[in-house]
This record gives sequence, structure tokens and C-alpha cells, in this order.
Amino acid sequence: MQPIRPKSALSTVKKELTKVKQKKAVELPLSKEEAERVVREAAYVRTSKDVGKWQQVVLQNRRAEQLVFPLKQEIATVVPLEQVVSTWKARTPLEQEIFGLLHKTQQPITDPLLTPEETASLQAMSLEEARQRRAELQKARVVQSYYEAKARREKKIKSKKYHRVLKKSKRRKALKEFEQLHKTDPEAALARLEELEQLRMQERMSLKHQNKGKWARSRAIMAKYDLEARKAMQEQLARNKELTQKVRVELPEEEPSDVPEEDLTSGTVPAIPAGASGANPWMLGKPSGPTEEPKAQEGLENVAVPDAVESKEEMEEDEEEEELSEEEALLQDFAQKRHVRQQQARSLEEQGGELTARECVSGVLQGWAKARGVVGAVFCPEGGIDQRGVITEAFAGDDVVADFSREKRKAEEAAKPQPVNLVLPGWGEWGGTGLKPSARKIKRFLLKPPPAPPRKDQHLPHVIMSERRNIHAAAHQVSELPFPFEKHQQFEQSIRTPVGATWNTQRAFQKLTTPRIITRAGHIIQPLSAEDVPDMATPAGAGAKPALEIVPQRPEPPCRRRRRRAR
Amino acid sequence: AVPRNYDPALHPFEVPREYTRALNATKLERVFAKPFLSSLDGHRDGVNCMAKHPKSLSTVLSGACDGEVKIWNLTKRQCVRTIQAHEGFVRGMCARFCGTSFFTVGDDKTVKQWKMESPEYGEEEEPIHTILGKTVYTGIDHHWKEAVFATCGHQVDIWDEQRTSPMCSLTWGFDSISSVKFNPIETYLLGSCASDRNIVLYDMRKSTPLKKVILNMRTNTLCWNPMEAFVFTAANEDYNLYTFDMRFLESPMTVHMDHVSAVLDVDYSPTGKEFVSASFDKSVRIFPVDKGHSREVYHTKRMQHVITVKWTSDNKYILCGSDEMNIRLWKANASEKLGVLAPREKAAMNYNQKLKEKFQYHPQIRRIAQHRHLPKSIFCQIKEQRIMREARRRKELNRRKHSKPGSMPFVSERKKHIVAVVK
Repeated sequence: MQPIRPKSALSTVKKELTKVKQKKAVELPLSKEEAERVVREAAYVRTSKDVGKWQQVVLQNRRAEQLVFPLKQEIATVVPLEQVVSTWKARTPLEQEIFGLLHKTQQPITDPLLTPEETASLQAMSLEEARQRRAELQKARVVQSYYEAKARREKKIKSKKYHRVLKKSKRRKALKEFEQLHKTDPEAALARLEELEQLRMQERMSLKHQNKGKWARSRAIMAKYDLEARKAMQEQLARNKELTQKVRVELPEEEPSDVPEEDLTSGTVPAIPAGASGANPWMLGKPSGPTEEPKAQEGLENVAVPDAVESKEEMEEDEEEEELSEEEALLQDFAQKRHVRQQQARSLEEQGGELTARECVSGVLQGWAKARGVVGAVFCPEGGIDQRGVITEAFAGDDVVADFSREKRKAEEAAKPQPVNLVLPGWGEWGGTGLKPSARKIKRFLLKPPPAPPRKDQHLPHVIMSERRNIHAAAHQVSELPFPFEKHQQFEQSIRTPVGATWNTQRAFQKLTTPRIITRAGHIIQPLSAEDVPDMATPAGAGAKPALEIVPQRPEPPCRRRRRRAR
Repeated sequence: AVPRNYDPALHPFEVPREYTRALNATKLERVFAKPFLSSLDGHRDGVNCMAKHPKSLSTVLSGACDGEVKIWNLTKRQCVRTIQAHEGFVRGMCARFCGTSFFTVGDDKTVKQWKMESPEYGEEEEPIHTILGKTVYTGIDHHWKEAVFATCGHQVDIWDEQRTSPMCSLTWGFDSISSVKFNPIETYLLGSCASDRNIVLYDMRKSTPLKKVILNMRTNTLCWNPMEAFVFTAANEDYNLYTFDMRFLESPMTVHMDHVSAVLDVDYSPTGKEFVSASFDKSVRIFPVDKGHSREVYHTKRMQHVITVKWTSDNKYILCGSDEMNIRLWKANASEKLGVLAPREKAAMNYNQKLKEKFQYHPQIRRIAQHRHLPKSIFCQIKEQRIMREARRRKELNRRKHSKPGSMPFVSERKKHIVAVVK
């Protein structure tokens, strides 16, 4: 066995020492506060970057000319009717039954442009025929709609005068038609007569237009005082008479016997037959009214009926003529009056103008003559050459131009900024009576002002423009350039451009006066959210991107056609 | 249409004529400026907080200092429902984004969830859900999209609606937090105001606060801009409001100065262009986001310190709840005609508006347009504060004039009110 050889303890210690020296010391962990601070800073930087992505949006909103709130506008769209109808299905047995029936007969369920029958017929026809047929249908529809529209318009008319005239014309037309009918188709005429008889019977039975009803009674109370009420009542009675009038048809066989009977029975309008012999010997001879009618030649057949008709017609025609003549007379009257007025006006102008001018000149001349003491000047307002001579004589001693230039020079001198004189005699040199301060002193203490800006009337020899500041006007003017503007010209231009509708077209006016913020009444404005901005710029590429659309482009809501006001 | 000849020779004097029309329009705007609509009466103690119904424009909820919660119908201007929600103040309330329920927190350390519908006949008024906490909660706000809400008190807690303990608690330092608000656009962000004069931003996803900005004085509330994701406005005790960009908290975007006492509440218009602020001086002011001064001030003799204010979601009305138990309804545009306008009317109003904008810098028109009647207290305070500000400015100028050039740097007004930004 070998003895234990002791190892050197130093080597291990040396090794350990070298190891320890190589290794670095473990760092002290951060105190809680420092750790927190680090975390906070990192979080803050990160959050700032996140929040910074709104920078573009915010800038755009600040610069925008108009902001519309709420940002998300839901437009209620109207679902087209075809869609609604097509999605509908028959559910109850009744509905199904009806739909079955409709299907069988190929009736249209929805409201398409062409029913199945029409489509079938169209397919049967050739193209040309189809086209023609369609054109016909279209025309028919157009005409129909035109008449409908016309009728609607006419129904709306309320004016009483129009209705009275309309009634009259209708009556005349009816009578004319009846005449025609009588000539062409006696059968139809008889039918028409029967109709009239019916009307008459109804009228006699109903006791309607007899001033007995509620309306008539109320009018009766007013009739005492009101002319119009009286007239209305009378009109009602007249209508009654008219309706209960017997319509007479003379058949050639029965003529002599019928006429007197009917006369007696009806006892209404005394028709004066022109030369109706035989019936009534007392009625011979010419009647007093204007009965010369070409229609009287038609014969005794049409004596009774057309007589009433004729008389009415005559009256109406007379009235018409009268009306026409009245209208014509009125128009002529107006024209005359206008003419006279114009003439008067013209004459007045000339006279007045001349008078005033003449007065002026003579007044001035007299004044000058008196001032200058020109004696013996003869003033005759008439005659041009005389006048000029007179004027030159009057103003002979006057040199206007020189006077004016003198005045202008004076004004310029007065407006020039004066040098400030701070010279005091003594103070470094001798002073006393009769002694003048030295040139050096004067040079030092006579403060010359900066030269004034050029006057506005520099280049105008015959004009003096006062450069004095108008205090009363300055109280209303802006004295310093306001903040957002950088140059005077910008501000002046902004003030000079008019905004109102008097100077701008309507569109331009609307664009100029659009409000900055538009809100909808009753709608809640939500805070901004990422959905409102379709594409948010990343902070990295913030500068390059173009301005974002904060208000999403929404389709124009269907605008209602503006109703054209009837002129 | 009538044929028109637009030859400018036939229509002279455009500028004076339009100036006269602008003047008349401005005067008429002042004539028709009658913004007060009605006052909702019924609370028996000062109104402490309000909440808007997210789906119904005619409903508003309010919580009072005696624990009562009332739901109002604005069209009938009546209280529809009354709930005795808490013992003590109702510190905060918020409606859920779907509109079916709302949450309230009170001085009795509870969070309660209630149904928005009135209880059926025979049913009692009971909360759907009650959470008992250990500390007083001072504010609550609901997430805009998820079933999550946040409360603040000692710390900001984020709760899931189904759980009775918070999902996570966010703390930074030891102070009591007075209000918390969720960002409506980037919905994982929160902002809170603490009594340590600071505003802290949090990220819910990472469950960590982000940054803290310390101002001169305490912020009472903040509100996020519903149209600009990174902008929020803070209502401060030093009579000002500060609009911040979340990414650059070192200096606010704008300082809004017009109130003469602490600003207690702020709410944004849904268009994001203006906001309304309620102040301890008994007035409500409307500010444009980019301007430093208010465009409108509403006040009434009967309205005392205004605690809470809301701008309705249709951008037309402003509701303010005040110390004297009333909620008042105002028009956002004082001279606006409510209701349906005929097209001619609308065109005329647009034209008048455009004219007023065109000539707004002219002295006579500006004088009429900005004139508002103010109650004597506010008017005198404004004068006094102007004198004080002038004095301070004069002193600074003098100091700068009489010291070494460059030794007194110019500090912009915006940075004057920020003390520090803590990472």
C-alpha cells in the first residue's frame, strides 16, 4: 500500500476562485416601484401608438367643412311591391281555393305588365302586329289618362262664375243637339222628349225648387236685407219654372187641335207664334220681340218647341252679343285710357324736364351776375349761343384750374407729417435773445418723420382725395388682422365676396351657406367607433395616405319630384 | 323660377348691405336667446350626480345627497320613478351601455345595480345586485361595450358584473380618487382624478396605470371627447379647464378660462366640438374645444352652485343639477328654434349664421355677439380677477425688464399650470 499523498488544497481553492471571478454577479432584482415604472412606460408607449392611429381621422374631422351626425345613417328602404307580393303564399284553404281558380283561368295573380292572356295573344301575333297592337294600347292608355287628368282638374274648379257660364253653355248645347236630333232622327227626338217629360214629372212631384226647404227659409230671412239672397231665391224659382215647362212636340196631323189645348193646360210660356193663323185670330200680326229667325222657316211642326228654344237662344245670343260688345267696349275703354295716360306722362316728362333745367340755369346765372357785379347782362333762357357768351362774361375773372391746384397743394402740405422740433437753446452752448442754436444741434434734435406713403390722388390732377381717417367709419371697421388670416388681402377678399341670394345663384347660395354640423332630430349621436371609419391608417404609413372618408358614401335617397306650381 | 339678372352693376353695395344684415342677425340672435326650458323639481336634497340613458333621449337619472335616485321623463318633465338607493350621498351613478340597468354607489360603501324598467305592480323596488365593499366608493363608470364597470375610492377597481370582488385594482400612490371615466372610443382606457392634484391614465387590458400628470390644483372631474380618441378635458379647482392630448401630457392643448370659481363638472357634446362646464360660481358655461373662452353662459337667480352637468345625446339640450335640489333643462344653442323648420326658414337661418361668421371680427358685431348679462357676483369677480391678473403680469414684466436678460425665461400659459408629469 502506498502512503496517502496529500493533494494541494490550494489548487481547488484556486479553481474555485477563478470560477467565481469569471462568473458575473447576478443582478439585483428591480424594486417593485421600478418594475412598475418600467411596465407603465412600456404600456404608455404602446397605448400612445394605438391611440395615434386615430390621428388622421381626427384631423380630417377638424378640417371638414361639414359633419353629418349620426354617422351611421340607416335609410329605410321601401321594398318594391312585386317583391313583397311574390314572397306571399296562400295559406288558408279559402285563399288556396281562390288561387286555384285564378290559376285555372290563367288570371294574373300579381300585377305584371302583361297578363298571361296578353302574352299568349302576343306570341300568336307577328312582331309587326304585336308592335302595332302595343302602340294602340299605349295610345289608348295615354288618351285615357289624359282625359282622367282633365276630368280631375275640372272637378276641382270651385268658382261660381265659371259654373254659371258652364251651365249656360251646356244648356245651349243640349238644345242645339236636340235640334239636330229632331232634324236627323225623329225617333230619337221623341225618346229625348220623353226623357224631358220624365224630368218635368219629377220636378212637379218633388216640390224641390219651390223656396220651401231649409236653405230657402234661411235665405228668406236674409232676403230682406241682402240683394244676393233675394237673387238666389229668385233663381231657384226660375229653375222650377224652367223644369216644369211643358215640352211641346207638334205632330202635323194633330197640330190645330192640340196646340190650343196644350196652351190652356200648361199656361206657361206664352209663345208668340209668328203668323199662326187659324188657331187664334187675336194672335195675328207681327210680335214685338225679335223673332226673325232662319229657323222659323222650318215649319209649323217645330213651332211650339223651337219657339221656346228659339226665344231662349235669341236671348242668349243677345246676351252673348251684349256680353261681347260689353267686353269689347271695356277693352277699348282700357286701351284708350292707357293711351291717354301714356301721352300725359310723356308730355309731363318733357315739360317738367325742360322747366327744371331752365330754372336752374337762369338761377345760377343770376346769382353769378350779382356776385360779380356784372351789370347789364341780359338773361334770356332761350337760345344756346347767347347763353355761352353770357357765361363766359360772367366767369371772366375766374381761373378755376389755378385755384384748384393751389388748394390741392395746401391740402398736401397740411397732410404731410410734421418734423418734431425738440431744439432747446442753451444746454451746451450759449443761448439768449437773438442767438440761434447751432446747426449741429438742430440736426440732432429736429426729428424728421418717415416719408408718408404716396397719396391716392397723386396721379389725378383734378381730384383731391382726403387722407384723413374717418373716425365714425373706423368705429365699424376691423383694426387688426384677425387670427386665422395671414394676409390683409385674404381677409379683405373674404369680406368682399357676397354670400346672399341676391348676388349668387340659388345653388351657389346653398353651397355657401351650408351649416357646419348637421344632426337629425331625435337621433342619438354615438361616439366614434372603428366601424364608422372604413379604413384606418396605420401609424407607420400615416403621412402618405390620402384623406379618409369619415362619412361613408351613402346612396342619394330617392328625391321627390318637386311639384310644379300651377301658374 | 323668376328669371334673375346677377349682373353686379344691378346689385351694388354688397358689403354694406350684407353687413347690415349681419348686424340685424346678431341682434335678433340676442333677442331670441331664451335658453331656459324648464326646471325639474322633486329632489329633497341637492342633486349630486346625473346619468344619461344610452338609448332613450327623454330619460335622465339623477342621484341626490340624501340617497334618493329619481328617473325623469324629459318630455313630460316629470319624475317617473323614485328609489331610495343609499343611506347617505349617492356619490356616483352610471347607466349600462344597453340601457336595461344602471349602477349607483353611495356613502354606505355599496354598489347597487338596478333595473331601468319600473317594477311591476306589487313588486318592491329592489336592486338586482348589491356589492358590499370595505371602503367608501366615490365614483363609478361603466365600460362602453363590455360587461365591466370601474369604481374609484381608495383605488380604481375594475369589476366584472357577475363577480362580487373586483377583477383588478389599480393603484399608484396613496390618495383618494374622486372620479373615473372610461374612454368611449378606445374602450380599454380609463382616466381618473385624485385628491393629490393629479390625473392618472390606466390601461385595462394590461391592468396597469400609464402616466400621471400633476397640476397646480386638484381636478374635480374629467371627460373624454367622444369624437377624438386621445383628447380629454379636466375640470380643475383653479377655475380653469384643461384639454389634454393623452400622448403629450406635458402641456395641455388648451386652457379654458372663464369661470370665477371652482369648476365642478364637465361634459362633452356628442359632436365633440364643444363641452359644457358646471362651476361653483352659480353658472354653466359652454366652451368650444379649440378656444380659450366660453361662447355662452347660463345662470338664473334661483340656481345655486351647480354640481353636475350633462349634454344630451342629440346635441340639443343641457341638463344641470344644482345644490338647490333642482335639475334645469336648457337649450344648447340659446336662440335656436326647436321643432320642424320649413325649408325657407332653414335657408334663412343658415344664411344668417353664415353672415354672422363672416363679419364676426367687426367691432360692432363682436360687441353685440359676445355681450351677456351676468349676475352681479360673477361680474364683480371677473373685474377683480382681471385686475389681479394684470397686476401679476405687470410685476413679471417689471422683473424681466430689470433683471439680466435671459435670466427669466418665458413660460407659456399652458405650462404654467402643470407641475410635473410622472412616468
